[in-house]
Amino acid sequence: MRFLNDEKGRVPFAVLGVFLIIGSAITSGIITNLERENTKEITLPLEDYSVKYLIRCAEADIERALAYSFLEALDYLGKNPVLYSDPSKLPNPKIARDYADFNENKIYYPMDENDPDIIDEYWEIVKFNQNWARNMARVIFNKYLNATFKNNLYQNAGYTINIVDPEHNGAIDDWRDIKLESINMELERAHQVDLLISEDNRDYPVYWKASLNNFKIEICDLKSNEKFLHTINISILIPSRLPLLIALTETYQRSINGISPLMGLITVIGEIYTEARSLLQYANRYDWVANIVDDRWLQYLTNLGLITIQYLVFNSVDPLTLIYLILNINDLVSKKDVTDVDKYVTENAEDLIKEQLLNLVSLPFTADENVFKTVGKENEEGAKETVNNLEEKVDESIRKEKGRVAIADVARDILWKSETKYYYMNEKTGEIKSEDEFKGYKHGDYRLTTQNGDPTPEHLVGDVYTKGPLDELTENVQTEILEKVREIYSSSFSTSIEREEISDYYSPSISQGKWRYLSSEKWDLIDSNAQTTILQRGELPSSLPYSEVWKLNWKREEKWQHYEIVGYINETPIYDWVDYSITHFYTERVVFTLNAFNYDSNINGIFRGKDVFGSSPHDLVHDDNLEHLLHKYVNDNFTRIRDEFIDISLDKGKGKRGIYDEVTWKNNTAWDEMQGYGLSWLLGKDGEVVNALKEIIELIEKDNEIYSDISTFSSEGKMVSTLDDIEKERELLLQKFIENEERYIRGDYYMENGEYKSAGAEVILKMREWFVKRIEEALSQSKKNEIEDEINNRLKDYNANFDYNSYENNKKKYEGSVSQIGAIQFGQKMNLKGDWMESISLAISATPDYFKAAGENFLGGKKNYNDIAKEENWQFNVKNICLFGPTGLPILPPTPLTPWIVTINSWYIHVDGHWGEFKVLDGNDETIADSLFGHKAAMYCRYESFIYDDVCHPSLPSEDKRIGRCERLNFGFSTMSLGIVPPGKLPIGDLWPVGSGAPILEEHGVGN
Amino acid sequence: MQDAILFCLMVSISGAILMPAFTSDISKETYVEKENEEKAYEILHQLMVCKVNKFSHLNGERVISSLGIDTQQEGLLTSIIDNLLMREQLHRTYADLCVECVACQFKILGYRVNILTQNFTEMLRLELKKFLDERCGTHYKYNFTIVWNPIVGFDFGGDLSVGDPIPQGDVYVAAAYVTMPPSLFTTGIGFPLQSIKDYVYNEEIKNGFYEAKNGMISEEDFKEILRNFLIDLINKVIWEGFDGQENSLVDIVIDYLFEKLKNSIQDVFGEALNMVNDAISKTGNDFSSLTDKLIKESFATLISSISLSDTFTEIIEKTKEYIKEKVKDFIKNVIEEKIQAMVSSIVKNIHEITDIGTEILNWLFQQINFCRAKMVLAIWEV
Repeated sequence: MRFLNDEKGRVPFAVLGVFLIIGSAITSGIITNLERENTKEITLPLEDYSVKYLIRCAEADIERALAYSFLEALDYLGKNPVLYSDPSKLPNPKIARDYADFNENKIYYPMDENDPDIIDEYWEIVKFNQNWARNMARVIFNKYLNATFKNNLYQNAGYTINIVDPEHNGAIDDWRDIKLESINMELERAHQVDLLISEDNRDYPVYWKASLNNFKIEICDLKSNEKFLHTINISILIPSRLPLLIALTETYQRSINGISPLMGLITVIGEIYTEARSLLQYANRYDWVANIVDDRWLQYLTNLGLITIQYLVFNSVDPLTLIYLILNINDLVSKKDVTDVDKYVTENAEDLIKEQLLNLVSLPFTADENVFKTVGKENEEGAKETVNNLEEKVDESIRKEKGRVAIADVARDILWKSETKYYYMNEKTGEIKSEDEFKGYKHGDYRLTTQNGDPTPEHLVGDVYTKGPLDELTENVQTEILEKVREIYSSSFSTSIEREEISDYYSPSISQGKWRYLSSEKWDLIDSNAQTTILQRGELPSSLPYSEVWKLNWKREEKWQHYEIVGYINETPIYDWVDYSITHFYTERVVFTLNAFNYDSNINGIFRGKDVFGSSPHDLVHDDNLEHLLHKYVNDNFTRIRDEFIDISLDKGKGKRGIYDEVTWKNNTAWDEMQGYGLSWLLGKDGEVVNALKEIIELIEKDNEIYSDISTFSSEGKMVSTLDDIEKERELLLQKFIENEERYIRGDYYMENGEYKSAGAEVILKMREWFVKRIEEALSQSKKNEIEDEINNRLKDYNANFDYNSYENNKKKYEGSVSQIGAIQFGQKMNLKGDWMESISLAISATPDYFKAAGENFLGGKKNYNDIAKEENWQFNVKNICLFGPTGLPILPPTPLTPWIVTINSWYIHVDGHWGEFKVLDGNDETIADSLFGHKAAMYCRYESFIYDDVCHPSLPSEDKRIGRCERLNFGFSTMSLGIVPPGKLPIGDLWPVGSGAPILEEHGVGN
Repeated sequence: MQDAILFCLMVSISGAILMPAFTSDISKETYVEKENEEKAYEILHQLMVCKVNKFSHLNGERVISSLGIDTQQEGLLTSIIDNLLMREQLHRTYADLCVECVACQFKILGYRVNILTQNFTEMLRLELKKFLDERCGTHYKYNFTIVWNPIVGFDFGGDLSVGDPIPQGDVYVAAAYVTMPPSLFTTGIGFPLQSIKDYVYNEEIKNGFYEAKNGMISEEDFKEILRNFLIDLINKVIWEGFDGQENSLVDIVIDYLFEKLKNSIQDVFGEALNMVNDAISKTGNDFSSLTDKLIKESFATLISSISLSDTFTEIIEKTKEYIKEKVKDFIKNVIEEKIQAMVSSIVKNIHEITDIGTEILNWLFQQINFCRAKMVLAIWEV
């Protein structure tokens, strides 16, 4: 074959092949080298990464160490918080002053006045404790760092990390280098009743964040011994919610002291008990209820209140407290003789515990049920029935009292005199005397009692006042009637004369020539003629004003001179005056008018007597009206004057005009008459005026149905419970009364066609109006202020720091909140909302679990759950003072006047105490390491003790490291309770112990 | 033809020479290896900084179930038991939980003494598994171990392990020390630090050092003095105690453990739980007596000379005796070797050392350190 024999390409192919091989080898070598270089570069930073992770792990570990240091510090702080510090009184003030350096400038009080002198306010306490925690954390942190980051202990990958501590006193010299920042979150409770917690808002500090800046570490290369300084910034969230525990405990403290939700709660619930027990006394059950407000049930309610507020603040309670509360329910029993059967829950106690443990618990707020427990087991049902019946029965009597007796009584007291005696006892000598007027509960050494002295359980019911009616009108009524009569039976009269010239001429005439007057004689009335009918004495004009017209003729002889010719001289006439006698004739028209004015023109036929009435409530009577006065004037004045002026023998009054004999007569009495004419039918207790007023009283009595409908309280079957309630009743009553006023006044009876039927009718009508107005005024008079003053004075006697108004305001404020409390649970979860959400449930542990003033075993010796040995660490004082003694304070007519007659009593209550120990634990975030259980809860503890800074200054003597003290959690409040019962029965109050007199003061306390 | 065949052959040879260079993925593999190394460190670091949202465990689970208490019921009972025995944590890192778990195991000579926290270990194991499974995915397997061994070589402390056994072959390992939580040991309240310091800074060893440094005594003599001194020191620290008092490590640990157990039974399991127990226990057993019994059983398993009828005082004495015997063996077999190495090192560098006491203390605290544990994470490809 040809191509097989072709040898032209062999050498080049071979050479090519060789070059190819060589080239491949070289290329392969280069690529391999490159790969190797590349690989080396990849692995080059491995060492850096190792160091990087060493540093990162070291940083993370240092942060963890800082967190652990703070956890340890906060664990110690939680168990030993400083609640008060006065460095100036400490043996060694330096340590406390250091922590009180709030400006962190190492200048202390008094050089730096911005630092506090004494640490006792809440924000100061928090800051002080924070600074102390920082120092404790610093000490512990330094120990950690010495144990793990010194002497090349922390090493890896040929490097080691150590702390920088040239002076060997710890890596951190000063607690001020560690900053703490608060992290706030909003607390959302599972069960929230705003009014029953004293908190400004729900934003609480929950965590603290610790940070440490510019912390130096030294990185050392173990091979070359090179050292590098590196600065890190550490910041860590301390996983302890101690800040929240502190803040919530402070909220709890505020909620149970002073004017606080605890006070409000006890006041509202206590009121229910006081009301029921007052009614039982009112129902004569003094054998069940010796003292209305009793320390025993107050004690129970205080415990109830404390645990309720505890639940509302923490949404958790001490479970043992809850169990003891349930087991001690018989502490409510507060009758006079409490037997063992009453006291102890011996039957089914363990079943009761089991029942409560296995189910959700409802706190006994339905006081309606438990209130009757206060009279003891065997009487519970009876008491409930009595009060229910009473509410119906008394309701009826309230209606009767209110409408009929109450207002009618007031009306009667306005009309009739009565003699009332009030009985007072000298507190020092025991002497009883009676007073004619009500002088309040206490005056001088005397205080109110009954006719037979203080009521006792043996002699229960007595009269605080005795009232006997007198058959006499009150001065007011008498005066008013007379006044009215005087004014209405009055009129003014006068006689007026008007003259008018008819003719005037002379005879002979003097119209011609020149005449001059010389003299005249007096006018002589020559003739008088009546131009109209005239009034004779004893007659009465038909109408007024009455006028008569007369024509009077007058003449007078006058001397005149005429200027005339008396002669002639030389034919010249000589003129001279010549005397003449002229007769002057004058005729005038005279009008005599009898005027009557200043009388009530609204009376029909006022100047005519007439018979009026004749139907109930009045007999047929003859009312003179003002006829008598008119008669008198006509007879004594008008006709006299007229006759004088028309008598031709008298020649009187020519040309005279004017008003004559103006008189004003009142009381239907003319001149110097001794008494009003024809008025006896009006006046006196048997008069028609009084009959009219008596009718008003009867009408009011008949209207009891109207008044019984007005009470909002009786329709709800509830008794009045505050003075405001009494006020509301009064206002409703007043309103209803005003609506019926017209009916009582009966204007139609006394008026006709818009005019009074007679003067007497006007008197009676006006008296009715006056009477009704007086009743209205009495209804309008609020006696609340007086009653309040009475109560306030009594409260002042016992140094109460509040008055009635505050009590009522607080009661109203908290009333609605009580119903919002329902079932409670131990350790309910609450939500915390901030930059993230989480939940918290708290656990409470308190000593004692149940405050007992009497310090008894609650199971009668069977088991002793009360730790009496610890009693010296806690305290409980409960005190109640009955302000108006065994009688109560009756609100009585006539003075003070009020339509709502009640008896009230009030009690000043004071409770205070403190726990021996109170702990709050974080129940669902146990972050503090524990060797046995893995973890334990953060705890905040309150108890009484000095606090020593053992952690930061372990080697100092005890007293030199004292920095302050921890204080117990305390509670205390003052309030009052009010009992109001309808009238009629006395007393309501505290009757026991017998013979102790009033005020009854019960006071119990244990501990110190 | 031959030339063509030759040429083709040469081309093939070239190809064969070049192929490894092109197909080699050594860079990639190296890169992957580097990433894996980093991954191990990264995951370990994440264990130190990542937080568990919510973690909980129930102490004394065995005791509760032995009493027949139903903890699912509503009411106060569940709340009381939860409060007393349930533990929950928020905002804790995995490392925190790990160290806290090993700190409360009280493992002695391979046996876990603290029976109350078994649930803690179990729950944490589950949590760690979940975390590591997520991080490692399906391509990697892992083994995470944390060991708290405060006395190097002596079987006392605690440990926790999650994952598969480590295979032979390529395994990427990352390790880090982690600080232990505060305890009796770390805060040094019980630990006789002052006694140790007083003993170390005594005249005998200082004189010996001075003489050795100045050639007044031979190296061998100094080695003997130093060796005996260090053995005495270790004995006193670990089991003998100082000045005739029971303040050695073993004394402190055993006393502390039993004291805490006794107090907890009284305080924690005391009034509240006994009241609960009286009311609702179905077994008729007393809570605290049952706990006592279980603890005694636990110790009796470890120490054969203990019987259930022994009182707590007798148990404490027998336990101490047993452990001290074991410790003597440990010191003889393990610590003596380390002492030898230490002595040689000091003698070798005697002229650079200024303060013998500090050197001895530093060495001691390297051998005995309660304040840290070691975490190791090993990952490998599936």
